[in-house]
Amino acid sequence: MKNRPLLSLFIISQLVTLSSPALSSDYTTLNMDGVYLKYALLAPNNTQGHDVNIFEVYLPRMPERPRSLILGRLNGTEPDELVSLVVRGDVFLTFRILSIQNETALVNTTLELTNVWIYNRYYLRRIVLSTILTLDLKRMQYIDDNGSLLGRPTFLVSPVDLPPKNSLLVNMSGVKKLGAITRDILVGNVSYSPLEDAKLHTYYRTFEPPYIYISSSQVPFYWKLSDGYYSTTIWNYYVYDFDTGVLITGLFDVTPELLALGVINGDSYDYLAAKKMDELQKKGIRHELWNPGFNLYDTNIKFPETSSTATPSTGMRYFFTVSLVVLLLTAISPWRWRRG
Amino acid sequence: MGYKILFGVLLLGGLLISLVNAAGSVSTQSCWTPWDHNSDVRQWNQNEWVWTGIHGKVVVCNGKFQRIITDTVYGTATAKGMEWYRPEHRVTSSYAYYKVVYKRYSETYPSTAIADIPNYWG
Repeated sequence: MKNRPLLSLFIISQLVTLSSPALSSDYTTLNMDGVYLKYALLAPNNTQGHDVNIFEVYLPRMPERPRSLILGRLNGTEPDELVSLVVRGDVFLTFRILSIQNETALVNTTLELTNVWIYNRYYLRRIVLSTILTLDLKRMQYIDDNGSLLGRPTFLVSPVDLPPKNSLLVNMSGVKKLGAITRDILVGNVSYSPLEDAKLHTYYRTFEPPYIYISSSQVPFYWKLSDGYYSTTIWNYYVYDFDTGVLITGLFDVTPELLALGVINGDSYDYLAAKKMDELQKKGIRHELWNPGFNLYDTNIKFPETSSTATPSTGMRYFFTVSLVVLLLTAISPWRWRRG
Repeated sequence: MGYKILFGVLLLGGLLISLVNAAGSVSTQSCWTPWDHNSDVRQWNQNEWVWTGIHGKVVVCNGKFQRIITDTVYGTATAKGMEWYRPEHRVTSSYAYYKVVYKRYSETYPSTAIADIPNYWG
């Protein structure tokens, strides 16, 4: 009886020690300056005609060089056209943190499309779109020159400060100004449970559960164009690393970064990952997954060895051993005292 | 003198005839408006299928696609027996498609079906 306070103090101290380093210190020590994260949608060698990713790009919102490239390929195209880029090759999406100052970061986003058919008939071997956005690190939102919120960064969440349900994911007022009928994309579900029993493969490395899963609200999109219309439903989901908050994989057609590149609606289907997933299923391998979305392809982030990877670090092992000894001591101590 | 008049008349006449011909060839340039269509149908059984199809007239001149006549376009992007599916359409004079992203109960991940024009005349 005498030892109950001692025991509970021990358990609380253990809980605090267990939870805090994995969540906060790893995240804050993740040096963001100069970080890059590259994601890919890869096309298998024998890609079929229907296996495409379509990027709807609005020419006036595009960076200058790729816009000239498209206009040069299309004769007599109106300069304010929504152009369909039908992609049969690999797609790369790279985020690079250029500099950090006073809790804002400059983030460069580059989208590279290969084996592109404009309107499915004019060929381009490769097209690269690149732009820079300002990220408010405190609010984890991109901001424009007036300080208005553009939406959350796609590549990172803060594991200790996850976005609440119904908070802003992508501000759609920019496309609404162009005449599209739509709504802001909001945070739908935030959860640790999806894929909780499965390893997740990417081109860079294999991740282990738990993950942070975030899905968006479903948003209708209708845009009446001068000679027709474009209509779709937007729904995104993202899977982040539990320890670092770095994006592992996701299906997202509309993000603040893509909108800043003039991509009104993209596609994010990784046909090679889907093929790899089929192979796993055929082999009867359970608890291992490939997600057919943008998958981590390369990065200079050093992922910490914590709960997401197999074994605890040496320090943690010593801690557990010492804890076990203390626990045994507290368990046998009443018996010793009673004897004394 | 007579020869000169005759020569002048012939020259003018020739010019007139070639002008008429040229005008005629512009207006009767080999343009026509055939129907174009495309489909992507996936059926596993009577109660489980995905269907995208598109049909519309296109303007073709000298065998080369010019544009889609958008008000003739009709299409479908639908499915039955899916866990969920999301249609996407684009109908414009330069390109038109009906597309469905669908998720079967028996598969882990969604897939895409798409039907677009110009197809035969592209």
